[in-house]
Amino acid sequence: MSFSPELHHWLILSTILFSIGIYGVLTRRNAVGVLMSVELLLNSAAMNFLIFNHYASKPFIDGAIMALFIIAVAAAEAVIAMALFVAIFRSRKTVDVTQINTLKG
Amino acid sequence: MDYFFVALFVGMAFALVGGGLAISYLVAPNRPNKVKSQPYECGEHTVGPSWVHFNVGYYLFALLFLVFDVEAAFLYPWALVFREFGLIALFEVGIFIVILLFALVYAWKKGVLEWV
Amino acid sequence: MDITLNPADLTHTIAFYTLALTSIVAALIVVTAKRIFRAAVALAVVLICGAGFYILLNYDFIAGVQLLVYVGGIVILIVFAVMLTSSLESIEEPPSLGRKALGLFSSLAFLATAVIAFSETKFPLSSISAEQPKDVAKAVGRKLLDYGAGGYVLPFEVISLLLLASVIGAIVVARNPKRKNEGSAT
Repeated sequence: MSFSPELHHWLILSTILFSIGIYGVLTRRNAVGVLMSVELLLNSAAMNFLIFNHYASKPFIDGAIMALFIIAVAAAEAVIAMALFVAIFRSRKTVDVTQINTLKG
Repeated sequence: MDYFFVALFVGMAFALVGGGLAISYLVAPNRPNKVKSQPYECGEHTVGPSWVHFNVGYYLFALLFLVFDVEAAFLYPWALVFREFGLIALFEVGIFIVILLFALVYAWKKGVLEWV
Repeated sequence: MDITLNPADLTHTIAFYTLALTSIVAALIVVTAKRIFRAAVALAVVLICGAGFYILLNYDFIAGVQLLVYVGGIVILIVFAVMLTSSLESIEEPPSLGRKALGLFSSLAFLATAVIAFSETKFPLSSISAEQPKDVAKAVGRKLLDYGAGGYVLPFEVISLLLLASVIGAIVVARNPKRKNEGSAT
């Protein structure tokens, strides 16, 4: 048992961050809060790619490219989600996900 | 060890800010009264709440900024290896930039870039 | 139990645990803060710690992109969205006990399953002698522009299409249909 970080330490760390994100997605009422939890999930997923790239396929760089794509996709996703929240807030005056329950705006 | 100075810098930044706050908390006398704890702007009384809803125009600008931020992040590695690939790299990145230019043109046409 | 006294290793270890503790605490603030603005600030802290992890893993280019796009872009966008959709004084009601229990159960179940799964697995670790590419940004650039087998030129182009689609969608959805600004612009 050594304290210096090895593959398992890193994996446990990213899994803890991921499960905190899951908790947030399930319990947040504010839609923006839900989106922030989703960002936590994406961030820990990107970290996992880099961890495995570093420990399991060091001479290659594919994991880092995946992390780069995850960051870019997260940006696109945040842009769209925020636009939806702004539009929902304009018509419903709330972004509480438990209150938004109609399909018609 | 390249990042030793980064860590040092972060530590010093925290120490400076935290130290400043701590010293002013310890040294400064704290005798608030009603007039003193009023918010003021340049000697004037404040008008309305300080938390107003922003115009959606700010959000649309931030959105365009974010998209071109991502573009810059992808152009940096391209610029590093441009000489190795030559013309084909120029062609590939040309497609990339032209597609994103459509986003700018669309935003322009829709009047997002006009400051209301 | 062997505690290595190699100073480089020691700093690495200390940095890892400090960043891990900070990011976990900040992540807990993100999911539990009653004021959404504080959650946004805590999210920025988590993402900055994430950049620190990437540096510890020797991917400094990805750390830079993380700071540039995530902290400098997405968090700013989230802050704008918070300002557009809620007021500072608005305090989010805590979730109902049932939701809390459900959330706690699912996240702990996931945590337990995942930890058991990867403590049982023998991962094919790369050999000690394996070398990481010297310049990560250059290696990434080579892979991104490589149009042969194993190259990423198509995803690279598709990312621009994705961004174009998201910009058009967001402008269509968020733009004020009446064209006149109704909110108080200051």
